[in-house]
Amino acid sequence: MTAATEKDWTKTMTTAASAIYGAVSYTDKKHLTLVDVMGLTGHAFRLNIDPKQIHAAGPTSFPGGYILRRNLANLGFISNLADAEMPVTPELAERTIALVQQAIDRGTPAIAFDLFIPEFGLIYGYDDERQLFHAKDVSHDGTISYRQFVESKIGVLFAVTIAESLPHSKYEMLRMALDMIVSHARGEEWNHVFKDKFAMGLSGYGAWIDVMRKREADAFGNAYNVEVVADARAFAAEFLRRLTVQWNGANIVERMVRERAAEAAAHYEAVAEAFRGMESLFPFPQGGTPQDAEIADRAVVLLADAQAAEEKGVKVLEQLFDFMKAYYSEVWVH
Amino acid sequence: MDYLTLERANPEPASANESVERELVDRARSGDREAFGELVRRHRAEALGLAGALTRDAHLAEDVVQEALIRAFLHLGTLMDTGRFMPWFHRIVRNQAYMKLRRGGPNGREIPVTGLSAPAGRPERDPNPSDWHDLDRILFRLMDHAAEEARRLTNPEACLVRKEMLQSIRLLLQCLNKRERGIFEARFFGELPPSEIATLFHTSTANVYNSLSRSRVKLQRERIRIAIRDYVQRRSELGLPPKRILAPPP
Repeated sequence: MTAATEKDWTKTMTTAASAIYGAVSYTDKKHLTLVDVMGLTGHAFRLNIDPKQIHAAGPTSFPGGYILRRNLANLGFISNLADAEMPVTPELAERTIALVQQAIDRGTPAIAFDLFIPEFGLIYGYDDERQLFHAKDVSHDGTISYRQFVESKIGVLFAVTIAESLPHSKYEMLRMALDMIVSHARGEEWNHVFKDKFAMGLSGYGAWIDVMRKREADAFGNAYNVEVVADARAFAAEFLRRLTVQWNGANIVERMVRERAAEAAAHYEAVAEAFRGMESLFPFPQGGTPQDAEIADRAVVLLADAQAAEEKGVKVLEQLFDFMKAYYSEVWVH
Repeated sequence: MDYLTLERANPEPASANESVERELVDRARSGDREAFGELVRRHRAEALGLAGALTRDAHLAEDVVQEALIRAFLHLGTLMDTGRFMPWFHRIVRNQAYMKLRRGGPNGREIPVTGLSAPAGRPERDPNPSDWHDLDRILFRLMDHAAEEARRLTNPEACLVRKEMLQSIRLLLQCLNKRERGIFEARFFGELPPSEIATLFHTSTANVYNSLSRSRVKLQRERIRIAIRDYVQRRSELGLPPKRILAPPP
């Protein structure tokens, strides 16, 4: 566990989660850490694999509006979505700009996609006189004109904003998170237009192994996917470990959460360990030689290990989810 | 006075006039705006005379003719016999005049001044405005008409869609170059298939598609530019904060 303990828990490769974390830090729920957000939104447990060549688009190819709003609901927020199809009408362009401005007026940034690079980022300021937004993503902190924003290149004009923060018990947060984690792992999550193009959850491993066996992995895409999943699973294991400490053991639910989380943490730590092996095979961004037979075969072994461990992990989380369905109290003295 | 007496007032000999007329109508139907412009020049005065006689009001007559021109322009494709342009056109003028009179004469409806004069902030015209003047007038007039219909009728959505479309065309005309305009108009007004437009403009079908697609992109940019400008201005008029920047995210 040495590599895991050295990790910086304030940064992640999953930009959807870092954007949510960034937005949440402006609200009354700023006590939520990035580890909490990665776990409670399910992003630490995601796997979305391009079955042709492990394309770099895989990790962000999910219905952003649906997932991000469900994520925010998990954390106890009412949210707004703009996802008008491109090219947008002037009216929808105005309403989207207005939605972003209203969020900023309330003191929270808006979550957007492809501000400077095709990743999630935040719009945290506006300037009508210069007709531009102040925005930040992993690549850049700067400005983007209203016009550039409206001329979105991703097919929809996308923005998610936080409308209101609601009181939300840790029971609800965890149950809703488990619901997302399990349905994603089992490939049951609604995936919109991406459905047949990517292998979701546990089935992602089979797709990945298949590409490795065919020696068809794209070096950059493969290394990027490795980096994202290695980071995510390290967060998953850490999230579960923290549950075993944060839940106090005062009643049967608390004790069950601690017990199952500890069990699952061990499985996800094994997944993270396998992906650390993948990282040394395929250093990002150069990516090594994934089409080389010997390297690809080693990758297959590591992926199979990861898959076996994750299947066990998912089973445990599924049991915990079933159990949690029956309990709603915040404090239960008994 | 009826349209026959007006027709006789035409100085050109009937037969030569007829063949020129037929040719102009044919060309206008195939999307040639110059031909349509020529038709307008030829018939505007007499149409005004007819409308004036029917309405006994110079302003209303002007309005009637404008409306009739628009209708003629948009429905030219439905005119079966190209030799019958003038009677057809005059019938439109009459219908327009009667419709307006039924609505209560010169004061029976608002005169859409904003539709005819340049609204505030309208982009600068081409250096050579006469080329497009009539068409722009027609489009402005049409837009206003669509807006009015939207207010009046029970099916406002359809009218709003129409208004939106017309607004698009007007904006487009301001941001396209002359050739692009020609191609776009041929497609839009003449509803010509791209293959025929290609022949008309001595180019390939692929180029016509490219031009149309470029035109659409330009149109979209222009519409958005104007929408944002107006939006920001409205916010300022409403006294909404012009600027707000939160602390940069972690």
